[in-house]
Parts: sequence; C-alpha cells; structure tokens
Amino acid sequence: MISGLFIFDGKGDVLMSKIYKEGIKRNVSDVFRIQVINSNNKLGNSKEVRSPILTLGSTSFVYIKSGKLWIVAVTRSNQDCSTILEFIYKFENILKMMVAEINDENIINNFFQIYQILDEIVQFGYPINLEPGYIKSILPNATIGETKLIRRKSNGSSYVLNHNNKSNEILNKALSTITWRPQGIKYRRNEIFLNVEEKINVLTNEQSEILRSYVDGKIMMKTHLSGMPECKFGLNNDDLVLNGLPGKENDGNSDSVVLEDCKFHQCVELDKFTEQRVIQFIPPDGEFQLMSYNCRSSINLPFKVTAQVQQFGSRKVQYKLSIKSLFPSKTSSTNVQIKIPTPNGVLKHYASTTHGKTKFHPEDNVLVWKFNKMFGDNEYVLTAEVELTELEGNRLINWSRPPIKLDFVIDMFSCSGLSVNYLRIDKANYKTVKWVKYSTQSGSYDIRY
Amino acid sequence: MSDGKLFIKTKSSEIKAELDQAYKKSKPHGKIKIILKKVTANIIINNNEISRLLPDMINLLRFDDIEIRRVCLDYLSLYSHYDPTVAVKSLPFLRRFREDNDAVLRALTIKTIASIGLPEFVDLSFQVIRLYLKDKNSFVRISASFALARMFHNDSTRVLNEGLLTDLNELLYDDDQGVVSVALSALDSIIEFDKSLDLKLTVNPDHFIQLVKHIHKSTEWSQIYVINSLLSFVPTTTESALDMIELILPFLQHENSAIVLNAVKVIVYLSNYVNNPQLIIPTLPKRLGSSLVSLLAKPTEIQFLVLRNIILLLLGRKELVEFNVEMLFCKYDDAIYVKDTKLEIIYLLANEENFSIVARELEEYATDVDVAMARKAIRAFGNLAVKLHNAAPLCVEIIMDIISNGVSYIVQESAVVLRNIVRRYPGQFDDSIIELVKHYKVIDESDSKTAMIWILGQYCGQFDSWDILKDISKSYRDESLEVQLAILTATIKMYLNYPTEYETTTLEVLKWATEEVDNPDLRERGFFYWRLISSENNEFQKVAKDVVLVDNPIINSENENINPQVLEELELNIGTLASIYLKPVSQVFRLSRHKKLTPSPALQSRKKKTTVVEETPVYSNRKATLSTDQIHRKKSIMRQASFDSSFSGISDDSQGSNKITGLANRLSRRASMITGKKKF
Repeated sequence: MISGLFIFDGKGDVLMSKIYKEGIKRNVSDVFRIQVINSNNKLGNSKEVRSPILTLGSTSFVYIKSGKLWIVAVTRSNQDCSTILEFIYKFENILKMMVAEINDENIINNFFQIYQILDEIVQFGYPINLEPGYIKSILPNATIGETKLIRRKSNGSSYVLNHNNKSNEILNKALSTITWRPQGIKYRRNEIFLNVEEKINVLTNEQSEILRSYVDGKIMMKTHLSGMPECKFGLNNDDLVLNGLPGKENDGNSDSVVLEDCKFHQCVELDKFTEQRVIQFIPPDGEFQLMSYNCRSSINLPFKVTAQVQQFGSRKVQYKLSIKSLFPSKTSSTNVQIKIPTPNGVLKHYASTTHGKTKFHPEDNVLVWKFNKMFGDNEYVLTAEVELTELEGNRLINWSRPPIKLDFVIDMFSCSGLSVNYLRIDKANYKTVKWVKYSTQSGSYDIRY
Repeated sequence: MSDGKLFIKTKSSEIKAELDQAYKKSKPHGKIKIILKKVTANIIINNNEISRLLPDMINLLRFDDIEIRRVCLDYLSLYSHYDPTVAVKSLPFLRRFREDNDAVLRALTIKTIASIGLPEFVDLSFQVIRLYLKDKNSFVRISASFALARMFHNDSTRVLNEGLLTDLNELLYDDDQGVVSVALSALDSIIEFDKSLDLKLTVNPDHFIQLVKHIHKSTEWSQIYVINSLLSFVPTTTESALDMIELILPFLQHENSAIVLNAVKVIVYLSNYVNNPQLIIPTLPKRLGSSLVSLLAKPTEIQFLVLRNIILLLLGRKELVEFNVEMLFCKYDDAIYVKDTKLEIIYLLANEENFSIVARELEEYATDVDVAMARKAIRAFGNLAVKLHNAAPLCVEIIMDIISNGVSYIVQESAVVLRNIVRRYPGQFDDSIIELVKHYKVIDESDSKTAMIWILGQYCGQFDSWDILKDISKSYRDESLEVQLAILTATIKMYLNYPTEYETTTLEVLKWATEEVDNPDLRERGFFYWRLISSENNEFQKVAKDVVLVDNPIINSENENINPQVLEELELNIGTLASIYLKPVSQVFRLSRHKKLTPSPALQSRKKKTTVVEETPVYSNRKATLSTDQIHRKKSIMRQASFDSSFSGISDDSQGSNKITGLANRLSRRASMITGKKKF
C-alpha cells in the first residue's frame, strides 16, 4: 500500500521520513523535491499544483500541502489511492492534535514522537489504527491531545486512564471489540456537547435567481461520558427524509428536511440506521464528528443580495447593492462581509451605505462592506462608484467580473431546518448534561452580476 | 521538552563517545534515550554513516526498557545488512524476546526479524513465524501476518514450500476482526506481489457475510480491507450477488472516503452478476450518486479522486449512477485540476433536458479569468453542440456572443469549435462564420489557423476569402505543416470555384508547395493537386471538382467509450491510482496484476455499445475504394468522391478528425498531461 512517508518543508528539506516497504530508498525524496517542490516554487504560485498525484515509472507520489509543509506518501505500482489520501489526512489530524500549528519548527521539535507514531500506525504499508487511544496504548509517552486533557482537569471533571498498568492490559483494552473507545473511563459529571455546524453555498445569477444552493452540514460532538454508554440520537422527529433510502417517503410536505446524503462516524451502526433509521452509537471519548450531511432542497436562505454593476464609458464602474436579511428578527448575524470586486487600477472610489462600513483594498481590488452585527429582517443598500486609470480603462473590456462574495456567521440558526430532537442514553441512573448549539456559516456564497 | 536541538546530523564517533559517557552513570536510561533520539534523527535525514553504530545498538538491547529496545530494533532492521557479521550477534536477543511478557516487544521482534534479509535472520524468521502467528495477543498476530507477507516478498518459494500460507489462511477465522482484516490485506499483498504465481483468494460466502455484518465495530481501516477483499467473492447466483450488495450499501454512508469508494467498487463489481440491478434496487443509482457527490465536501485531493471515478462510472456504468449536474458545477475557488475534471463530467452529463442550464454555466466559465479554463469551456461548447442537436443553436449563439469582444484566445478556440459545428450541421450556422471571420487577425495558433483556413476554403464564395487567406498565409514558410497543408487545399478549393480569378495565385501556391518547401508530404500533396487540375479529360476540372469539392464526412457525436475491456478492468480498480489516469492499468503500472471478472453462471455479458459502429464505415469505405478503384474505372467518379471524403478526412480535416477521436484518447492525453513527465 504505502511504501514510505515523507514530510518536507517549503524549501524541500526532509523533516520526516519513514520507509515501510522495500522497493524505495530514502533518497526517493530527491525526486519529489526536484519534480514537485522546486517546479512548484518556480511557478511562484502554490495554487497552481496541477495534480495531487505524480507517477514516475512504477513509483507514485500522493501528496497534500499542510500549511507550508508537504506530506507525501510514496507508493509502488497500482494502489488504493483513496485509502492513501484518507490516511494522509488522518495523519495530518494526528499532527494537529500534537502541535498547535503544523510548521517545520513544531515537526522538528516533535520528530522523535512523530517517527514512532508513524512506526505504529502503519505496518507493512497498511494503515492499522490512527485513533489517539490506540497510539497512546502502544506509545504511552505520546502527547496527543494532551492539551485537551489539561483543560478537562480544570473543568473539574476527572479523567482516569491508568497508564501505570502493565502495557499489555491497556493494549488488550485498546484492541477490544470497540476500537475507538478504551474501557474504564470515568467522569464525575457526564456531559455531551453537540454542535450542528452548517456551511451554506449559494450561487446567484445577474437576475438574483438562485442557480445553486446547498448546505454542507456536520454534527460535531464532544463527550465526557463514563463507561461504555450507548447513545441514541434523533433528528427532526418525523419529517426528516433521507433521499434514496428506503423507508419513509417524502409525502410532499414542504416542511420536511430532505437530506441528500449523510455520512457517519465509524462508531455509528450503519446497518441499524439503514433498517430502522436509528442513529445508535458508542461514542469515542472527546471530540469527534458524528455525522456530515448534504442538503439541497427547502433551504432557508439567510440573505438576499441583489447587485447591479454598470460600466459607464471605459473608466467608470457603478455599483448598486442591497442586502436583505431573511432570518428571524431576533437572531443576529455577525461578521457580515460583502467583498465586491473592482477592476484593476482604481484611481478614485466612492461609496455610501445606509448601514455598515466600507473599505477599499487596492491590493486585492476589492471593496469590502462590513457589518459587525446584523439582525434579521433588515435591508441595507450600498451605492458605490470607482474610476479607473486610463490605461486600465482600456482593458476594462477584459475584466473577468469575479463574483461578489458574502461571508457571515449566524448562531442558533440552521439553513437546512435540521434540528436535534433527542439524544438519549438508555441506562439506569446515568445522568448527563447535554448542550446543543447551532451555527451557520457561509461556504462559498457567490453573487454573479 | 523540545527535541528540536537533537535533530542534527551527528557523526557516529560522537554518538559512540556520548554512549560511553552515559554508561558510567548508575542510571544511564535517561541519557541513552536522548542519544537514541539523535540516532533516530539521523535515520530520518538519511545519514548512512551511523551504520557504524551497529555493535553499540546491539549492545543496547540488553537494557530491559521497551523505549530503548524499540529504537534499537528499528535501527537493526535498517542497518543490519551493512555489516552481516556483527548483525548476527543480535540473534540471541531476538530469540529471547519471543518469550517476553510484553506484547509490544514481541510484535516489534517479529517485525524486525522478518525485515532483515540476511540468511541467518531469514532462517530464524521461518523457525518462529508459526509461533508468532498463533500468539495469544492479537496485536502480535497482526504484526506476524505482515511479517509473513514480507517474508513472502523475500523468498516466495520457501513460504509456499513450508505451507505457511495455510497458517495465514487460518487467521481469516480469528476471533479478532482486526486480525482477520490484516490477514486479508497480507494475503492481498502476497497475491499482488508476484504476477507469475497463480494465487487466488477464494472466499467462503457464509463466512464473509458474517464478517461484513460485524465489521463495523473494528477500525475504519479494517473495514476497507474487508470490503476490498469482497472482489474475491464470486457470486454463483444473482440472488447471492444482490444479498451482498444489500449488505454493502450501508457503507456508502461512512465518513471515510476510502470506505465509500471501496464499497462503490464492490457494488459495481457485483452488478456484473446481476441483470439490470438498477431495476431490482431502484434507489441504487441515486444512492451511489449522492454518496459520491457528498464526498465533494472533502479536501481537494480527495475530490479529485472522486471526480475521476465519477467519469469512469459515467463512461461505463451510466445506468448505475444518477447525478444532478448542478452539483458538479465548478466553484470559483476550486483547484484547477478539479475544475478540469468537473468540466469533463458536465459534458458527459449534458443531455436534452439539461443542456440549457449546462450551456449557461459553461458560458460563465468561458469568460473566466483563467485562460486555460475558458478555453476548455469553449471546447466543451463545441462538443456539446456536436453531441446534442437541440443544443447546437444555443451553443452557437453563446459562442457568437463571447467572440464579439475579439479577445484573442476566445476567438482562436472558437474557430476550432465552429469548424466542427458547421461540419456537423452543414448549412445551419453559416451566418456565424461571417462573424468569426471578422476577427481573423487575432488568430496565430496553428490549430485555430488551420480551422480558419479550412473555413475560408469551404465558404470561399461568401466573403473576401482570398484577401484574408493571403493575409493569413503571408508567412507560410514559418507555419506548421498542418497550416501549410490547409493553405494548399483551401487555395485549390477556391480555384475550382472561381478558376479565372485565382489562376495565377494558385500557381504560385503550387509552386512553393512543390519547390520551396522541403516536406515530402506537402510536396506530394502539391503534385497531386497539380496533376488533378491539369488533367484535361472531358469536362473542365470535373474530376478535380469531384475529388476536392465534396461534402465532408459528417462528424458524429463522439464515441464516448473506452474499450469495454479496459473499462471492465478499471471498474475493478475504482479508487486506485489507475482510476486517476483512466488508462489500461498495465500501461501505467506494468508491475500490477491484471484483474478480470471471474466467470460464474450469474455473470452478465456486457452490453454492446451501438455508437462504436458509427465511426467505422468511413474507414472501411476507403479501403474498399482503394482496391476496387483500379479495377472499375467506370465507377471511378463515384468512388473517387468517397475516396476524397476519406482522404480529406485525413488531409485538410485532419485537425477535425483528430479532435474527434474518442474521449478515451482525450482523457488519456489529459491524464498524461497531469503528470507532466512520465518517465525519469
């Protein structure tokens, strides 16, 4: 599967190398440095990577960029690329749990640990287990998620996982039937935090008609639970429809939430979900993504933006924008930002608004209209005008008119209409405190004009 | 404590000295561990000079400390072969560790023994592997399974002779799911390793059904290996295939994209054993489609992989997947390779119902800042127009709209595209030509020039073709061969239409083509035309006209099929590297084992695609003509006409017909483009 793994810094120096299988040597790193990193640096624009996979002869490099670093898996012959990519991303996740930021300094400062972790999570090129619990059972000194542990202690709840036991016992626990949760976890207070996080993606055309809108949602969960609790989880009671799945059909009720597809964390029993539509699971300890979903119909759009952009002559462009918030008036949206692109070479600019502030950023050719806070059911207008230099004015005809972009965060609002109905732990005398939070963010919210 | 300062190149002599220092202490463990970190750093930065530390590292094995031993064992597996005589001194330790209480140490030991290729170590590995495979701790059994796979790579005959594969097979019935999945992947790597050995995994269906039912409790990686191994499950009846599909379907809901893609692979594989599975499980296409689309929320690289596999499915298994084309529209900030692939998919998904949405979206891309993207979008317009008759007017209208600005690259690309469109629908879009020709001055690329010159020759009556042609072909000597050939043919066409006006200029052109240019093909073509127009029999230029001025063979909606056998193999490789390149697996990876469907009573034959046939007549026609032509002079005129049609197919229209080679070719070209260079 994976013959070797490398981490390079931005210049192409090797920060980490681990060979899993015969067939490649450590100096294969030179090939990658020359073929990818150097040619990429020459281009000067890291966005212009042509493909995430490079095959030379029978050797392939599968790579991602993490900040300025490159994480590269080297492999021979035809291998399962999906597994390799998933592995690289999960490994990146482990690194994120170890250090605050993935950069060359932090990798070097932890090189010994990372090397040993790499030695254990993959055997003979096959990823075995990347769960922090497993890694800790084999490498008791590993500091994955240590920071979280400290925070937990300060919360007043105690977390006990006895490391002084003979490692065999821990190992056996880690390898018990439930691989993602060690046994013997105890908390003084059982708590569950649920975050429903949605990203809404919208594309509108010149006539402010919606060309495309969909929601990428995920439910993040943080659990501080003792023992091996079996959780049951319910959404929107009856009116939730999952497309393509047998069972409840959409009866045309427009209030129902239709999910195109959802993906679950490995702890969820998928067959139970398919047969009985019950989300049932024994959660891992700590933070994880319980499910992600995708929703395309009956979306509550939070904003309506209309834009008129006109060119006057070859040197003037006039903007008329209005933004209307469509969510309930008591809900508020923060960090609302509208990025309005302008052509190159703006000489003069002028803008007036009924609310919010504007600022022109000549380096990005963008006019930003900003609100610190916007309540629902409001409408604001902006008029602006930019004047171009003569030289750029002549090129105005080639202006590509990049879309206007909208950024925002709305708390306690879900665009898909999805809501958590219940979260139960069926166990006698098992008290838990549950917290649910919703938030909606803009994904790519583009307005063409 | 930060280890950063230990991450430096160190000489083995220095490390040795530090070790000696450490031994003097009463409790040297702490100090030794720091020194070992330095050793590890030097392994990472590939400083082979530290191989001299071998005796010292073996010596360190006597410390009863797992951390020290872990580093030493790793070191041993890497540097033993530098000095075999010293390395054997580690054997007593390795033998002893098998009895150790610590499972981690036992696992490390078998891993180390198996990865050292020296004869003494190989012998030891064969002596002990069975004991390790039966170890009471599952973690050790996992390491032992992989160790056996490694031993197989080192000496496959000996593994086979000693019957060790049977022992590995027994692990398939292990109580621990993790061990089973590892045994499966170890077997998989053994099968993959040697193409010449006829090894095959045969699975017991009932056992596997049990396995799949309980696999969700083990790690996501185990799930991947188990699902992947289902490719070895050969259903004997349609029912058993369907049962298995039902069992796999829930995995499409998994968050791990590798599990989803492997599940898709197995479902597509099993569909070979069911007649029209989409009719039996009506939700199947929708589920496969939406499950793949939802993976597009993953990071870019995974998106790319998923998209390439969507192409693969659309090419070979259209009936099994259902997509909503809007979900595959490009986002403004998609990576360029993702946009590329999405464009390809949008084209494949375009049909009579959605073409107007698709065309509007393509228009958006055509005016994109990214030039490469804009060009591809315009090309997609052309393909869309050729593919769907009803879409053609809209496509032409949009192209007209965007070329009106006279932006160079847009005009150039549009010229190529329009040439194909007017050939596909003769007489329908002639007005558009006039608009295009207005912008002839911005054209400078060879492709577009050829297209433009062809148009000029074909429509020579409609505008001042000659002046424009003369303007374009001023510097004919520096042009590429295609352009030169195009100029020649276009001139002859004009001459035949208007002999009096163009007589002198035609002679000039023929002169340079036959005398000034060194290329034999061009000269040949020049002489050929010359002789044709100078032949004096019966009517003036009748034969020449019959040969040159004929209707061109109509280009058809291109054939979207890769060779079915190639597709079949690629479908068994969904999610692998080969699925990115979409080329025959053996072409990209010569080491890989050929995968094919195992016959069984339930295996359905692949449906023949009808579109393939359409392209062949032109070719066979030509062959027939060439042979019969000499015999039947009488029918020569008719025959010649068709001769020309095919001849022009490779001459002035060679560009056109090249463009229209199957999507398979274009895809593979694209794929090789992605890598840039293929060989060292």
